[in-house]
Amino acid sequence: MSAAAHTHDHAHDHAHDHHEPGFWGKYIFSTDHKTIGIQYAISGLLFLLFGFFLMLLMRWSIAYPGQPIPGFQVINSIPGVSWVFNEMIGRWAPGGVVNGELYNMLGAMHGTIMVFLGIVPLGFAGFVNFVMPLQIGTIDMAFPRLNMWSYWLFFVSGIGMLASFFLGTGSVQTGWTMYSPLASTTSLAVTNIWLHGHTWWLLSMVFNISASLLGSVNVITTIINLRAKGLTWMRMSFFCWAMFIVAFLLLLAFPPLEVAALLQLSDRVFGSSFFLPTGLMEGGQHLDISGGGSPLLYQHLFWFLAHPEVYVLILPAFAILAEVIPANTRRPLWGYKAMVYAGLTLGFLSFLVWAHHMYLTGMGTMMSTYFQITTVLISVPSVILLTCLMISLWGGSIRFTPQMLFASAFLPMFGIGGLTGLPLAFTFIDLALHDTYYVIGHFHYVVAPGTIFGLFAGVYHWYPKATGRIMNDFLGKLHFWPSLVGMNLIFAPMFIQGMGGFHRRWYDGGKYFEQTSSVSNWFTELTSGVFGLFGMNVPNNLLGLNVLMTFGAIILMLGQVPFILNFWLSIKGGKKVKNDNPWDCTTLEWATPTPPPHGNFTFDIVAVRGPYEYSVPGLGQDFFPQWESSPGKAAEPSAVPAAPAAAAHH
Amino acid sequence: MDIPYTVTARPDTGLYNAKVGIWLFLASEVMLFGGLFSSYIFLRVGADYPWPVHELNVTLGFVNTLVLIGSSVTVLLAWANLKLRNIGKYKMYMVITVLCAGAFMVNKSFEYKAKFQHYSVTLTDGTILTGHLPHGYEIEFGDVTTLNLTVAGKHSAVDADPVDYVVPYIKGEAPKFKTESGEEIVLDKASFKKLRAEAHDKAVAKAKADGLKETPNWNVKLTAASPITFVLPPSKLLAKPTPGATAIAFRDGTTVEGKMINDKMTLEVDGIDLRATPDKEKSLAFDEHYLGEPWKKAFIDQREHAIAEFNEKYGDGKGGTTRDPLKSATHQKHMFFVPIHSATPEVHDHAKAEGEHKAEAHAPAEHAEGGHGGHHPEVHLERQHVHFFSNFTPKLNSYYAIYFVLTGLHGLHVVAGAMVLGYFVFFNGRMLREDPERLANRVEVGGLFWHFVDLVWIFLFPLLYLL
Repeated sequence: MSAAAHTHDHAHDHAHDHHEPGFWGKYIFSTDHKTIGIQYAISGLLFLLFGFFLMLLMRWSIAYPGQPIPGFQVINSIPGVSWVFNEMIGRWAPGGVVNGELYNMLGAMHGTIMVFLGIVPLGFAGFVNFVMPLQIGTIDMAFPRLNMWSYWLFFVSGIGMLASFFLGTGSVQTGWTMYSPLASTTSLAVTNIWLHGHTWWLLSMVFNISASLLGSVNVITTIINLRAKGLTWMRMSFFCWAMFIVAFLLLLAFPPLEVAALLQLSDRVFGSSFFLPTGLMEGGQHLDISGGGSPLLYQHLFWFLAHPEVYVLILPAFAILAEVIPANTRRPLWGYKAMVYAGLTLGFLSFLVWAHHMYLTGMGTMMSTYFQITTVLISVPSVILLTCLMISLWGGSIRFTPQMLFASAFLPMFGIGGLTGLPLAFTFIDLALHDTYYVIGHFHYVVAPGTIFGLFAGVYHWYPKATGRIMNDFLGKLHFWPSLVGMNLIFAPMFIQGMGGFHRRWYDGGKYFEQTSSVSNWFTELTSGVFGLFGMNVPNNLLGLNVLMTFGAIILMLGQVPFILNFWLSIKGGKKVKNDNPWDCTTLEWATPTPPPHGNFTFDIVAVRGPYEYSVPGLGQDFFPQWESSPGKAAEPSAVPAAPAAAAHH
Repeated sequence: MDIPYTVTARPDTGLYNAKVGIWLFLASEVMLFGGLFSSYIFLRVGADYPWPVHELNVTLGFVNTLVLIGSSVTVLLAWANLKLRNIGKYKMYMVITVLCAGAFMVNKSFEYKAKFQHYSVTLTDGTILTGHLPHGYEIEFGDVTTLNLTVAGKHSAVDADPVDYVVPYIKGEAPKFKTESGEEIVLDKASFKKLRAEAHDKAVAKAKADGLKETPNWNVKLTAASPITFVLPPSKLLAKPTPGATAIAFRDGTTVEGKMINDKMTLEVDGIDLRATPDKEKSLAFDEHYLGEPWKKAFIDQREHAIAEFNEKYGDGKGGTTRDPLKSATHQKHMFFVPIHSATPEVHDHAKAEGEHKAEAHAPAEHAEGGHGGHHPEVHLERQHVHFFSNFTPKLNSYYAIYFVLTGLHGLHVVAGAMVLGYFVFFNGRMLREDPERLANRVEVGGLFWHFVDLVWIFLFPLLYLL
């Protein structure tokens, strides 16, 4: 029976409804939170992979500008594939050489896809949908049909983004930030403005934002109103807390981006001048616009979203780690309450720091001082979160499962990302480093080996709950080590290049910029020397690092092959779980049958203790699940006092 | 396996699910409209042109305010009556609410329509003339003998398609064209498809012969049997035509060479806005070919009148004023915006004015079409005097841009709210019989949304109409 049946008119005749939904109802237009979670997660993983391929093309163009993409001939010789490749990319890559136009498209779409179609759908929507209702002990989300709508709106936005590659104009080219006035006025010379990559980007974003709005309303309502009996706020896992905060960020930060998208759409389609100053000229001619608008307004609206968005990207990783680390160290999460309060503080402060992305716009000292202070302040709760996770390792008997490997790599990687961000908080350093590879290195350390490692940990951790089988351990390790090496080879040299002044948008990696080739240091010498050992001629200056980073990207790509194999093959071929709680965890999701049926729990579940009761002295086993009154025995609902009623309403 | 708390409230929060949900949704909506209101403030504070004030019809806006407030009351009454199970009254109040939404939108559509038909022309010296274009605005470009079509070599957004983008604007009957190979054709879908295929083949052959990696663009020349004249709105061109242009480019990339025959704009002036004109008395608007001396005199009279009025109102008795006249947008408007209600200035010697200015400025009423045409002077503006023109749409300036986005988005909310409430009253009959409490929750949630829509309007109305 579909859960949707409860949310509409048929509340009283569901007795007639007891039939299994067909394939479409069960797997495609499902309202079950677990199916939707898996749909979100798989879509997110596929988009991450696609965004990664765009990045590989970019990295090729940076390291070997003017040289054809390897395998170009092979791709072109496969019918079908060659058509798709040519319509999407080949049109701008004559002879397989990436040109500037294409590089701009790849850059804009890499950012968009990774952030809005990859990490948020996987990290937030995927995990929260699958895990959160289980973890708070309820049968589904509060609004299952809205949940389905959320996924399908997201799906439409994803298709819109992908389809924009095939339009006559190609996809959008103005960077994932879409700064006006450039983004408002560029390439308007088309026969039909509605069939323009930029228009499709903006419309897709409107769909994407609507999807996240529905999702976040659903998540918050579910957490507020559907927690199981006995699961008080401070008995709720940190996972749910972090997702709760993320949902608030999505709820409140996305609307200003929607405003920005709508106003830019109006500028492009209806000719308004929201973001266009008076007297704007292009190609020596005054544009046919009224002017009088403000380019800065766009940046304010955009970054008012996009800074909280950073925490939308990173908090799911913290959420997952807070589950993975205690389960694999067999120790309680250290500083659970501090983490909850730090998370809430982080969420609040994230709305007050946006203009630190805009130091270069020439804001006054008063303004920039304010934003420097809030930016430094926000590092405090971030450090508390990271420190608590690190201390949680102390004295544990760590099981190095693949998820724990990813989790333990997350800690230093996020640490590097966070610490390199500190200098950027100050205007005097930021003015020099703005738009250089230093910034790219900084935020990629946060979101790539940071967030994405966290998400991988989550996939390995909950895979047994979703499928009843455990992912292969060896392939997991084969996935982890090349990923770790590859990520660092890509992003660490960026700091050096960035401080050398490499600009982030050079499609030739700086080859044609004279000054870039004169700088060398011990690291570039070492790079050149090591490549020399293998007979490769790599310049011993900063340009040589481009080659190193591209090799890192290739290693990273190869590292994903074991994961893809592992992910699909383990569904049928993985080792079966020994019971419903294969990792000996404490939170409620492990009390369900495996995989959880529709409705989730087979008994009336209540929570009688905190979420991380590992290694309780004198218990006889090293974990004490939240739902058990004594080991192996589920608590009776009657044992939990009813929650006090709120003040009487009408 | 029912989801808990869909109908009854959870004891510790005191709320049922949908109520939590709608408040969260409204929080998000507050951020959406908050972003737009902030944009309004940002644009107004940063405006480098006189911000339009008192431009909208306050009566219409006020009526709409009353309609919305009334509907907020009726939706509440509907919910209360449903709670009391007064089904008849519940239905009546719901229907009234939905009808109010309809009335609001009808009202709004009148406002919008008036703006779409009203034009504003900024002259090169900053003077703005507002009014109506009795014949629309089209330019006439003639003496064209050849069409240059560009067939794009690779898939491009600008590709020759003269059948849709060029032929419709030919004055008179579409002529026959001669292709480069000497064939005589009528330009239609079939003949152009053939032409384009040939051009493409040639481009590919050339690319092969020259060893090029991509197919180049290919130019196709079509010679007309007799010279063609185009009549078209300038928006159909890829780039706006300059005065005296000898070539124009159509939206599909087709270019033609010829002569600009007429790019004058005929405007029935209903207002002169001199706020942004540096030397107001020498404004182009008072050029003898345009509005001429009498209107200049009318302007000077009005300005003196406005200054006197201001001094009387805010005079401090010592020859100064208690308020800075330069900082009052209202006063600026009273001084420098001359509304025009008649074909000639009222306070003027009519006979003398007619005698002196036989110019087009005082065009007789025979051009008049519709109600007000005859009451306004008609001017024929030279293209080189026109800096920018638009109807009262988002293109005109950032005030109208934010006006349309705010009211448009608000209008969408009204429509959505009306659809939801209409659904509850017209299509939820079964729930009304079987689970009225649940329906009451729905109406409550829908009503909360409706109050929000009302609240947004209560902010919008003073912001856009009064301030």
